[in-house]
Amino acid sequence: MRRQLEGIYRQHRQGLYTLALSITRRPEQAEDAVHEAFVRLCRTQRKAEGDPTAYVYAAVRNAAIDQIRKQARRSQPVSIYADTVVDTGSTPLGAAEDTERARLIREALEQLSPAQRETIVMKLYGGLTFEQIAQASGEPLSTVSSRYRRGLDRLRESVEALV
Amino acid sequence: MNLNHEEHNDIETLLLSQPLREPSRSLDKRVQSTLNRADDGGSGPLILRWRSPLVWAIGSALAASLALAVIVHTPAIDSPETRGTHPVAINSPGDSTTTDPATQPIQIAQTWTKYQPAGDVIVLDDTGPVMPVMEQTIEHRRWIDPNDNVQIEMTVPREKIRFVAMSVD
Repeated sequence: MRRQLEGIYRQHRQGLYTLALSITRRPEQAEDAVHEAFVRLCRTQRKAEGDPTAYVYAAVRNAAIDQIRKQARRSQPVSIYADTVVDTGSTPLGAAEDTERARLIREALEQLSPAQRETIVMKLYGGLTFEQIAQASGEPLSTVSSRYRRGLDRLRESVEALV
Repeated sequence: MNLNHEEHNDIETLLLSQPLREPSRSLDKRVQSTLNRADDGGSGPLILRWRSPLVWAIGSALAASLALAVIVHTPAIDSPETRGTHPVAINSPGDSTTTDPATQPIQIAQTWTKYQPAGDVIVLDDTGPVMPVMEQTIEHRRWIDPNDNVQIEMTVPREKIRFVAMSVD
């Protein structure tokens, strides 16, 4: 179990943290949530039911929700994205478009419902399958897949002019 | 399951091209430390560990049983196991029925406390760096009534995490 958890953490470190950050919006709380999830997983000593990766994502998701319930929000919320924008090395006009596109997509992601945002984060940044996301969020596969599709549709509308 | 992937490829590509905020190295250390401790404590599902809730549940159940147990044959009060503790009279001062100190009921309380680090240093916004410390306490109380030769014992285990502020110089 310990080796399995270690392997999952190494492989999904970024995805787990991004999921926690998308829920808490605070870097320190997101890290506390990921850590707390592993503390709980080590304590239970119970063999994961179903997919172990989805099980760990579910634990991090629950710990992140607990974090926002129990801790006062003292610091400013942040995006899951770094403050920097990737420089594509294109023309000044292209660079300006890239920056604007990045701003729009980041803002649009923040406007999604928490469930849509979590689904997109787990799918894209965690690399989970829809089956794993369904297990992690405890919802039917059809709900998760349609939620993902609708979330991307909304993002598309937000950046349509520049895509 | 492929759901309109071609339709959404551009959005997915755009999302994936955005640099993400990364977790700190301190998180890696904290998680690794937790995994190492779990490894030290055993990995089998049947191994009871000190911090296991099951151990505490059993301990609490035993403590409750002990609290109800009345031991008729009381050992000598000044036996080695009670040395160093402070008997406390629990009778009211005006109780005229137990004026002889040798026959007054007494209470003996002993507490064992153990501290150990419970993770890496955490930096909080308002207090600065703090070290999480696990405080494990076992409180043992014994009531003895020499008049009836009755003794009641109770053991209460407790566990809590304290955050100890650290100075930064």
